[in-house]
Amino acid sequence: MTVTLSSQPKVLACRECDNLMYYPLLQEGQQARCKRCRHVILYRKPNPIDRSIAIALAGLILAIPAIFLPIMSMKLFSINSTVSLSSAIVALWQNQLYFVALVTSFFCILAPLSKLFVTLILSFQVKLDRIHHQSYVPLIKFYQRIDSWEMLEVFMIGILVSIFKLRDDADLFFDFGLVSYILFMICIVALKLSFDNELLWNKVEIDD
Amino acid sequence: MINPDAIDFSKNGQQNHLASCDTCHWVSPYIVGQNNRCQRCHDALVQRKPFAFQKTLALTICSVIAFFPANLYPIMTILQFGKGQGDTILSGTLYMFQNGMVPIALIVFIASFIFPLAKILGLLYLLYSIRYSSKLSRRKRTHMYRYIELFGPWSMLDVFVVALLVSLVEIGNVLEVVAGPGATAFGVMVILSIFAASSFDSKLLWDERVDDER
Repeated sequence: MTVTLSSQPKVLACRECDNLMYYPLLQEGQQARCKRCRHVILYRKPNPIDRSIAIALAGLILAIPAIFLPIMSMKLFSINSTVSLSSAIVALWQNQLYFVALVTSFFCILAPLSKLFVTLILSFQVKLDRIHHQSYVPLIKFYQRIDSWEMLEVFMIGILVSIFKLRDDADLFFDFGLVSYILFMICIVALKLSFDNELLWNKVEIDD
Repeated sequence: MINPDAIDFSKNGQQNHLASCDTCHWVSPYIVGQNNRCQRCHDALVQRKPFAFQKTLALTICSVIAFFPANLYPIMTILQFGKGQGDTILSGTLYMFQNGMVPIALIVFIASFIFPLAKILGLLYLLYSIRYSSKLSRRKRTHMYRYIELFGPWSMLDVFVVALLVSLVEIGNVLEVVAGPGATAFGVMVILSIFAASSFDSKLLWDERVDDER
């Protein structure tokens, strides 16, 4: 570590078209677009740290019922069967679709859960001023890497489609798992809207 | 640190010998032929993703190849008293259409057939437009690329439906849903096309002739 300089960037390059501009100074809630390609280059989210902590905690609590409790149950000839997120993956594995089972568990359980954990740790590190900890930068990088691999919304539409497919053939019942799954999904979407990694990057100090 | 006064803002980052980090978006100086690293996060720095054109083309061709087994093999079989016929994605959608579930059939059809097809064709078109010419403005093509990236995960819809049905519908020997090989092929295709889209570099669209500033 030599001289540390302020990490507030002076110049910004558009990610989509490589257009250069002065780093825009925004108020919370404002966004800036690239002049050339209209891509949203910066968006300062309102109160990102506190909101992320609240949402991540709520999401982590809801994750347990959302994953393990039955989402819905079906009744046919007085035989009852249920499905939960975890039992769907187990069923895929038992059907010898190992690849699909692994991919689904990654997209719908591992990616969202690690996202919640990482944002919680990062937000606390900023809140408690522990950003010099060696895990800070790797965690932001990890967050960005898994960000696009989380597909809870898609799974939610999948639940809707299967409801419609079965509704004529059998009696369907919805359990508490569905409610917690929907809330879990809302947490993940809200986290996407409140967590601000640009802000976290700007706290990293630079040795010149 | 770079000096903003020394930058010609009418030119892009590459022409100013700068590169913005793909990870943290910090702008650092870039010297061609050297192993450049980002000043802030120390990740490897590139001005354009290396071999983006070739990688995207290769992965798009791979997803075209996977597109056929994904749509021709049955993704699941509904067994009634041990008998039943496999359903491919298209025959499953057709069945829902005929049974009056038009809105839900449309969602499935768009998510699992139109999106992957549009994604593959769109990427091929973008690649073509880099090498040759295009009637669409660069701004429109950048928009197009953004949507291609956005739609990617939605194609997993049918795979998740299979996962749910396989687990839920198991009423002894009366009614059972068994997953088919099409589901694996479909998952492979979706993931390949997500990789194809993410290996593309939209900056290439803006690197062509400077005269058509649309």
